[in-house]
Amino acid sequence: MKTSINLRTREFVIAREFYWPRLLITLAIILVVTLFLGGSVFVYLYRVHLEVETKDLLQDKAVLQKEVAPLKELEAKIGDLEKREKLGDALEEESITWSGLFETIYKLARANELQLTSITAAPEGNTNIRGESPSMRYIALFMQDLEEKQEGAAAVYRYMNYAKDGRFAFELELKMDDAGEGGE
Amino acid sequence: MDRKIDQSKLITAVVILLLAVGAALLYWLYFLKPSFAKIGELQNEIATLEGEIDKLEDKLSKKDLIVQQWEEVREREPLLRSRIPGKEDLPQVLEALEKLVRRSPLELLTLNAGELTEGDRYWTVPVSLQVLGSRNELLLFLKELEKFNHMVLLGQSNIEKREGGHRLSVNFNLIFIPEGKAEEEVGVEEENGLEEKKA
Repeated sequence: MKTSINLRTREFVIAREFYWPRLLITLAIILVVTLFLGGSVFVYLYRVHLEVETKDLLQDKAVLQKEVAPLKELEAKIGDLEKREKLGDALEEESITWSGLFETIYKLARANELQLTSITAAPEGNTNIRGESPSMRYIALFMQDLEEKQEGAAAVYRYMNYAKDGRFAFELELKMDDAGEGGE
Repeated sequence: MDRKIDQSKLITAVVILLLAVGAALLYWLYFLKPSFAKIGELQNEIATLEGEIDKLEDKLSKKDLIVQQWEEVREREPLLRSRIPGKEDLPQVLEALEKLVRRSPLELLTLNAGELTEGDRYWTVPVSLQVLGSRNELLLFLKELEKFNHMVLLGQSNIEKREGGHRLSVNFNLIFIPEGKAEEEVGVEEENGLEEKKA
């Protein structure tokens, strides 16, 4: 009959005895390592997920850009035309026309027996009229007619000189609030 | 003897602790920190892309409206382009002006076109013109110039009696649309929209 002899040392036996703190520390270490590894994997996977999402969005954007390109072109054309229209309308209001004013001045001069030698109109609103008349009275009448025809205008003479051949040379200035709105 | 064992255990514990701290530091420096930075970067990029995509989708949803708008303005395109031409139309505009002058029965004395000047609202080419003819012909010509196909802004004008008729001297500006301004404005509108979205 064989008899088993326990050859283990006392320290060896104690080291393998069930001991709560040791178990808890082991579990805690396992938990920490698991969390550490799990966290790392999660961070890595999340990053990969974001990269994939970015790639997908870039592809979507490229597809949409292709579809939108003709629309953008149309929009640019519309914008360009609208801008031209707006500018044209604004300038139409600002623009000055002289033909009507010149016609009116010539018509009134003829009616008052004046001979005009020069008319100069400027966008600032001043119109200079030079000419000859057989009488100063006709010049004054012409000035009155001008003021009557051109509402808000003021006609003043710069000079009326007896020149030669029984005629008077004169220069008038017609000041208007709205330049170039002349005509009837 | 016991004291020696305790000292050895303490050293082991300190070494293990230092190793753990070192590993954590390396882990932070070479994995976590770059990963968080990259994640932040990607999140920003995604937000920007989503904004841009929303904008594009929004534009795509307005396709019918844009096409309808285009149909409405398309008919007026030649007229508007002719009324306020672009810099590239300068040769045609000058040709039309020359034709207008030559077509009239007036004698052309001078016709000077200056350098294209860039302004904020519009670009201009200053022109000075002197023609000789009868008074009625000059007035008729002035009317035609005022109704010229391409926009003109008249400056100082003078009709003077000369031997053999009258002389008309007129200064005016030919108007041109500033280059690339409409396209720039569309771009700015889009950028503004995107910034609003981000905000």
